[in-house]
Amino acid sequence: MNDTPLVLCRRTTEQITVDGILSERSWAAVEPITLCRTDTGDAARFRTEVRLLWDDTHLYASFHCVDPDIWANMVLRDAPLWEEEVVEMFLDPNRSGNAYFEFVVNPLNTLTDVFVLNRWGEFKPLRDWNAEGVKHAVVVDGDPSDPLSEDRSWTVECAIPFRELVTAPNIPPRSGDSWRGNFYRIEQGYEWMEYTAWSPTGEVNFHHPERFGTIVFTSETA
Amino acid sequence: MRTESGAVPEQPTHVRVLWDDEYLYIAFECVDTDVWATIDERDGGLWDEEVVEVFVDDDSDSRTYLEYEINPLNALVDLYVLNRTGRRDAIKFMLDWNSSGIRHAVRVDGDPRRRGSRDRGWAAEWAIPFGDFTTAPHIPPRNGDAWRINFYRIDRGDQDEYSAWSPTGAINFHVPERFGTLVFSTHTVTRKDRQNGGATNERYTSRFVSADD
Repeated sequence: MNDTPLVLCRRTTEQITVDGILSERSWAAVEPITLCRTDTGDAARFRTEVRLLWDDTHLYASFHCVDPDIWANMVLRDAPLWEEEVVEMFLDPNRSGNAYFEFVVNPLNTLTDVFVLNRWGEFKPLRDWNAEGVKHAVVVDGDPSDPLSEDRSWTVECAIPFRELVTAPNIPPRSGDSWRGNFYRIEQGYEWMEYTAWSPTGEVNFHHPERFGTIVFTSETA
Repeated sequence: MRTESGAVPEQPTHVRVLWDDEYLYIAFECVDTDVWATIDERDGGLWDEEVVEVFVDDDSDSRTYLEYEINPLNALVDLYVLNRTGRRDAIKFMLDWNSSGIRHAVRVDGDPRRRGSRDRGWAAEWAIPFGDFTTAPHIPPRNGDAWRINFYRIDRGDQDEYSAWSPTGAINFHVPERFGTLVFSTHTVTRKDRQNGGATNERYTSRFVSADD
């Protein structure tokens, strides 16, 4: 756990409009996290930038993914989006390492949200869990429905109500509260499949809560 | 006791708990003059009929817990519950959670298929594998580990009766702040303990002891 990364989540006083466009001043003020290969820790083929913000009601996360071939088909909530291209956020608010929340969004703005129980290396994903009031939006610079198109990037912006993250010690968090979590992306091309992570897990498997990084909430504003 | 008031119920229930390295064992004995159930599939709406229930909060967080139900036809409901706000409409019931390897059995002294029959009672016995308790401090538990738990029963009759080990103050079992405490002890059951245990059960303060060692 000593070699896992730490990120400060800074407060925003702005109204964040969840539209997939990171136009708010706060987003620009956040130093992004970048993802690396989850199995090896090596640099990713294509860059992913993750940014976090919070206010009294929501945790905001954005993913900006460089992607020359954006691809997705699934449109139903809680579909197995990870079989295609996705970004993912895992949150373990009480740092238990045994129970955490998983949010997955694809380039078509489909959401899969899961409550995961995980101990002894065996995980139980509970897709019956649905967070109420999650806002999420995607802007694609390219065409995810055309496999031959030359694309450039896709951007996900989401707002998760703290009240849904019921295992958190404090809702909303207090300045200094630290949660554990990880950020992931699955990128698929014709000749590669790349699984990237903020904190690499040592294998192509994202369900390693002991490898989650630390997210520290600070009242310092972005 | 009646869950809303703490009053003595018309139809008494006795609950006993044991454990070993692999299982948490729970036994309900229900005095019941008319045993009744119709549902026999897993994860059916057993709570609409007669049922016994156990809620287990293995990490004592009062926010996440497991719920097991069994009815007189030996149908099982098992689910995971997230409940923080206390608002009934905000509780999340994850019926897609299923125990891995639970064993359960029921004996009915009477006819559960006929409503209005003159019955005497029913008993349910569970062996819940500790592997279900993902968020417990230790698996298997250590001597002195404390979890939160509650035991419930719904009895249908001229007047429905909702009873609880630790009364919740309302006809609502989803009040984790009201769960009692389950303390694991490596002290082994002996005949003398069983006599004493019987006495304490009368007061609904069960003793929890290991089945071997």
